[in-house]
Amino acid sequence: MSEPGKISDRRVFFAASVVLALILAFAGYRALRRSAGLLLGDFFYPYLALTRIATDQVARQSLLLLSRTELAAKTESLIQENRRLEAENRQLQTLAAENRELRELALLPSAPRWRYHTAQVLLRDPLFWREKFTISIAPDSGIRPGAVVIAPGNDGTPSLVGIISRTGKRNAEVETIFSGNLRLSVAFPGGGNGFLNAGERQATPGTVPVGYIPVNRMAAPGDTAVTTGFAAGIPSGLKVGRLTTLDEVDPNFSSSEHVSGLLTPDVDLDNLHFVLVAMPESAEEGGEK
Amino acid sequence: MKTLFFFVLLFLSLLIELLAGSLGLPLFLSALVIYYLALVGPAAAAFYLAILLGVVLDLSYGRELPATAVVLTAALATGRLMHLKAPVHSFETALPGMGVILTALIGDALTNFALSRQPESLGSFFWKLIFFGALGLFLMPLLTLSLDAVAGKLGIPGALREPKSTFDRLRPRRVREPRTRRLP
Repeated sequence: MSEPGKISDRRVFFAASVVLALILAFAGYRALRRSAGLLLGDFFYPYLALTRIATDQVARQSLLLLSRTELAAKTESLIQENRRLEAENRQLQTLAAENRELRELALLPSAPRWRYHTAQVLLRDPLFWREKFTISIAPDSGIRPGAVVIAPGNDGTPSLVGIISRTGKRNAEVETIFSGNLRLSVAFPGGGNGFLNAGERQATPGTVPVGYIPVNRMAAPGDTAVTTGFAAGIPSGLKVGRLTTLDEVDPNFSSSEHVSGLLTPDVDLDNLHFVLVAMPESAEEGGEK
Repeated sequence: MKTLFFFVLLFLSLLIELLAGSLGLPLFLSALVIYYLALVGPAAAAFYLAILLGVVLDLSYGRELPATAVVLTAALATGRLMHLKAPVHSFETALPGMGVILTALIGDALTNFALSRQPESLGSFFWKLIFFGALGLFLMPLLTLSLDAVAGKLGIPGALREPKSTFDRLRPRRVREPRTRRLP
């Protein structure tokens, strides 16, 4: 016959052991998060990539459903598009060469050159949908933490998505501009500057707070924010988003020197499948060495 | 064999959860699978497996904190509290299934609200509660039936127990005889 109170004692011990296991899991998680996370990312890579490969295969097969005339028309339009891009590329190359020459004559340091790698979005967290995601990278791409991630914006021009925060062998984690950890300086057309994810404003769904915008060189709602190039590894002039809300302060009646606002990113982060990772060429060479 | 079956189930649920998560769908399949394992095997082991699975899921997503480990443990505890006895029919797992999913959904929403800078709106959360609660109501009995079928083929006892015989169920309770007072 069981002793009185024995069952309740066992339940208390069990609850205590579960709580202890949770505390241990928490401690272990905090200690091993970086290495174990990357290891798991590489472990799950083939399984997660498999679905992407299958989707691509289906998309490719769907091309076969088109008729010959439709395929011919698409090929023709692509050839024309390629010719136009080739002409524009040549023009830009001439401009770049002229710029290099002028910099040499003016004894200015040469402008950084960038190399772009395409990457596919591999994994997204449903809890932090807009703040971070994982991309698949080639093992020999040389992509390192701090590299800038860009994607076409609403008008098709390259815009900032975020930066690489961690890299594994075949995958890398991207922290987007919605993430509070990414604090970046941005510039406005009027000459004013600001900082992403800073200031007194709270983010609302679909917007990023911008703070420390000087009152005397104020930006206006509707202004386009671009990167300043002050942060290492991020090129200047890259589109970030559009200022939608800004604090209204009259400098004559207020002592505050800065204002805050909200910025709507240019890239639709909810529907992102491919991104570009930009790496400065010197950094890549350094990495290879 | 039973341990291998458990770990294969956990791995598959984790993989499906990750794939569904990439589409923005919180499927909560891992929470339901953990509840199923608690029905098949010892409940204590299921609690430790819930913590392990939660940690692995959080590590895969690269989250700052292992919130899923706590959420899965709470979801399992809810399921156990809603139905402590071994189920005889698959429909008996429907309500605990709903409880498991609702607890996981509320836990995820709390995590999202506390840690994310882009929290979900209350309106969409309300619709999610209704939809996923109903989904749990149907998904758990289906999952129990299908996984029991697989377990049966592997020679592992399933979650559903044999119903008691009619004689056992209809046997009247013993009635204590009233004490007779002693006459002084």
